[in-house]
Parts: sequence; structure tokens; C-alpha cells
Amino acid sequence: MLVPALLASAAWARETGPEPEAGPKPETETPPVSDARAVPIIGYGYEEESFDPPAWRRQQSGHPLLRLAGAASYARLPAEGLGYAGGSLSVGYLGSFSVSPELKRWFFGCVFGVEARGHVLRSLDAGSGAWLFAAGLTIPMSFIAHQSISLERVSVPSLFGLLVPEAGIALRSPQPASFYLRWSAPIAVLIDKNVAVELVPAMSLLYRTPTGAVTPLWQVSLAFSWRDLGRPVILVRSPAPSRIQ
Amino acid sequence: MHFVGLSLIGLDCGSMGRAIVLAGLLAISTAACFEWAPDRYPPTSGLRWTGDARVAGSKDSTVAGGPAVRFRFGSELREPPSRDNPSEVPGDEQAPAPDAWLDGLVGSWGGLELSLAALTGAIAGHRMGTLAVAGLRPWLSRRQSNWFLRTEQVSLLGLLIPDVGIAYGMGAGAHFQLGWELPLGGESFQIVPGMMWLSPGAAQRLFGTLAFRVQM
Repeated sequence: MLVPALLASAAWARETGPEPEAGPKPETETPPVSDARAVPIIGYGYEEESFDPPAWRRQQSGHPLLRLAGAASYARLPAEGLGYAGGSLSVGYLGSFSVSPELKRWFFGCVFGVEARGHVLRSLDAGSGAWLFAAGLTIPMSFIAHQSISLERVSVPSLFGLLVPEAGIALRSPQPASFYLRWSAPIAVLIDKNVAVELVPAMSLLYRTPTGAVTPLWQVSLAFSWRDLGRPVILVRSPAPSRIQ
Repeated sequence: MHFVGLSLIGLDCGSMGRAIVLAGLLAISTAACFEWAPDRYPPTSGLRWTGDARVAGSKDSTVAGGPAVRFRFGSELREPPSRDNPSEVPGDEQAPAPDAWLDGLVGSWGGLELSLAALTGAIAGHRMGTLAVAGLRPWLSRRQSNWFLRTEQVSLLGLLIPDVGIAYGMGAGAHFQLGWELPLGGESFQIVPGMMWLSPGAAQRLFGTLAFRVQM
């Protein structure tokens, strides 16, 4: 709404030319068109007008904020030939930071924090009775595009986020407890300003098995996550250059 | 004292205990070289975090990869020489300093670098494992110009000084390790080939490494 108003006022200013020097100033001055380079379109008040898509960047910057997630999982343990089903819960404090240039965002990400995760899996094979409970800590690091409005609701792990594992203890039956490392690649899409749906492929390595070997566990999860936004953030976007002279 | 420590590390690296003592001595001697002058501009001390995506491989078909982080802190060891007759030609202040050869050969800044890495992969091609590596490196670099150290400003002597530390894992307990690397690239991105030498002298293993590095 602001851009057409500014354009109309700009056209009016061109037609009427400069105002005479003498005489009292009008009460409402027309803003110079050169000042109209950016249009704030986001804020809590604007969401009622519903052309404001969810964006990861709307989170308050530089503050650790709560994130909760729950997931349903399917896993496969090739060493034992067993399939597992279960779920995961995670709670974390993550902050959004201004990282530039973009190369650093791809490498390190721009959303960091600490997250505690728990996973419960039970064998799908009748008569097996095997189960696994794992709890660990990780440092999530994700990348958010800044240039594209359509991609601002998508979050992918940064390169370092892919490399840094979750570490913890896995309690297993009938196997003994073991240390584990788990790498995951969550791809998250915001479906609301607070809520995202996530697809999480993951691979865990379970250490100290009775044979001495390290056992891989493959897992895929579908998760829903909720995040605290903190203080409302106003994003400013530049309008198309052709619309402003 | 700094350089005495550096030469000692080259002479005696057979025992892990002695190596740790030497690394401690190096840390103390390097710390003693720090010059604290926070009110000076340009600053005479600085720090830098870097992150590596790192891969290591050896001839016995071991291939492992993972993240590595480095934290570097250092200070100016040698002030730039003052110019007796500064030119009034604009841009001439960018000309190489008269001691550029010494700066490139030895360096003007020094300090300590702590490195941590966790590499996971296949050991000897048939079983999986993780190698955790921690190291400490006295480093020397060419002249710096701002608070955030530019890690690509390497000096020749700085390249020769090894990272000294411990590697644990791969199913064989703790190893003493030495590491060297050659950062290639600019301030924003570096490709870093290097080598890691585990247990030099006895049951030694040599790894070639390659890292992609971005500075924070």
C-alpha cells in the first residue's frame, strides 16, 4: 500500500514542480521519492493483512530462544537386520546471528545454539523385543537464505552443521549401553511463523558393541518444531527498482 | 626463549610426556613474548576462530573426515621499522616495508593456536571409528593490520613449526601427534593441504590431510 501512495505523490510532485520559496509551509510535506528506497512490510500488525509469509529471519537476533521439536522415526540397524520405529524429542536454545558474507553462512550457518535430544526406538520384528533409548547433546548450525523471499521459510544445515555430530549415551536391549555419535541433516520448512515441519535423515554410530565393531544406525524422521520468536522483528525489503524512479 | 623452545620440539619428540612438558614450556615462553598495549592503534594483539571441514587419509586405506576448529591468539613480537623519509607520493605508504624479507622468513607476530578435531570414518578400509585430535601450536605470521588476525599471513618459519598434541581413537588408544599444514587462499576461504604424523618413531602412521577453512 505504501509504494503506490509514494508513486502517486511522486507524480504529483513532478507535475507541480518546486514549491515557491515564500509563504507558509503546508502541514503535511510530501516525502522525497529518493527516500522511498525500502518498504517495511513485516511486523506483527501487518500479519492480519496476510501477504506476509513466515520467515526464519523474523526471530529476534542475537538472543538464545527456546526451540522444541517432536518427531516420528523409522530406523534400520543393518548389523542386526532389524527395523525400528519410535520417536524423538528435543529441546534447545538457539540464536539467530548476522553472519556475512554468504560464504560464511554456508560454512558455519547463521542460527546456532545447544540442543538436548532424546530418541526412543523399538524393534518392529515380532519376538525381537530389542529397544534403544539414546540421549545426547549437539550444536545445531543451520543456513537461511537472505536474498530470496520464497526461500526464507526454508532452513538447511550448514556445512559445519552437517559435520558436527550429536554425542551421547545409548541404552540398548539386549545389547549393552554404548557411546554414540549421530549426524543429521534436518531440512525445515516454516508452515507458520512459529511452527516448522522437518524432514531429518540421520546416521548414528554406536560404539563399544560386544564384537568391538562400531555399528551404524540409519534413521529418517518427520518432525514438527516450535520456536520462540522473541521480540517482533521488522524485515525491510527493497522494492523492484523499476517501480521507483 | 621462544626460539629455544621451538628448536627443542624438533629434537625431542619420542616420548609423549616429554612432548607435553615441551609444549607447556612453549606456551609459557610464547605468553612471555606477548606485548600488551590495548590503547595502541593499530592493535598489537588479536584473536581468530577458524572452522575446517577436514579429511584425513593414510596408505592403509584409512579415510576419516569431520570438523576441526582452531582458536588463535597472538601479539606483535616486532614493531615495524620507522621510515626516516616518508614519501609524500599518495599510495606510497602501501609500499613494502624495508624488512619485508625478515617478515616473510620469520614473521612479526606470534602466539598460540589451539586446535580440536573429530574425524570419523573407515579404519584400514573395513571397520569404522573416530579419531579425536587436540593440538597446540606456537605460530609465527607476517605483519598483521587489525584486531582479527589474518591466518593466511604465513611466514616460512611459521609453516615449519608443527602442531603438537594427542590423537585418541581409531581403536588404538592415545597417540602423540605432530601436524603441519599449508594454508592456500585468501582471507575469506582457504584450502589447506597438510600432514599428520601419529606416534613418530614407533608404530608410526602418516596421514595426508586436506581441509577447507573459513575464518569466523
